[in-house]
Amino acid sequence: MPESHAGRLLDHVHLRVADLERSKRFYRSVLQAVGRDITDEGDGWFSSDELFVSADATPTSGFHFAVQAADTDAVERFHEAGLIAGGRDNGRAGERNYHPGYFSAYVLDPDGNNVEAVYHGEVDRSAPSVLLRW
Amino acid sequence: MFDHVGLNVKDYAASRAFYERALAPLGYRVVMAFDEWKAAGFGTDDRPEFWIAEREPFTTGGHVAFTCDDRATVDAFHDAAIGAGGSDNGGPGVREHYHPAYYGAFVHDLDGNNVEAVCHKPA
Repeated sequence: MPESHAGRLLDHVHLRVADLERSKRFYRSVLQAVGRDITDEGDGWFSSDELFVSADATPTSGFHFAVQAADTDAVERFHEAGLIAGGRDNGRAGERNYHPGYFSAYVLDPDGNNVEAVYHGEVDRSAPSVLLRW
Repeated sequence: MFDHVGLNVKDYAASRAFYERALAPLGYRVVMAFDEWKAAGFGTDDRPEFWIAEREPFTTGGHVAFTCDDRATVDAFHDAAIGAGGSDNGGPGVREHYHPAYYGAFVHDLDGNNVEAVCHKPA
């Protein structure tokens, strides 16, 4: 059985946005669609696990990231939620030919960054997440 | 949370060479490449988690941080990235304002995006 690792390469990703409230609405909506949510927030910023978003400098543009979806329904919900919450369609939910079963959807966030949700097919996952404590 | 992240770069060959050198101390290499699309994905096994691709719109103001197991790897990342043509954006050291054991180093890549290596473990 092929194996691959997740959760040890990327520590965090930081997006700077033009309008924090607009981006918070968008990201809350698309994250909830895949079973996540905003996990922390403060003056001028919010975060969801490894994603940090702030409105303190020139906005990030041309960036791409993909969030994990648990099934194809979550990918479809993500796409619908993104469009309702102020995103723009950048590829409807469906199978892509990256590998058999690669099911994804794409939405441009309010600053034009390309946000994807992807489901890779049936997988035996060793843990739901990596929990760090200090 | 993340499945993968990607930067749109202005020069595929140059940026690929930069990231191959900068990420080598972390054990990451190109594990999938589509040269005809000018795209390469980095990882440790066959699953790419970090992509670069030469396409518009070019990424600007992006920030990505990579996890390191120890502080020596953070130091080696900074040396390698500067040696590969990056510009210093903060030398290796503890950033106590993030948390007491936050040991990071920062380099601007060839397009000016802010690339970081970080170790969260106490020394």
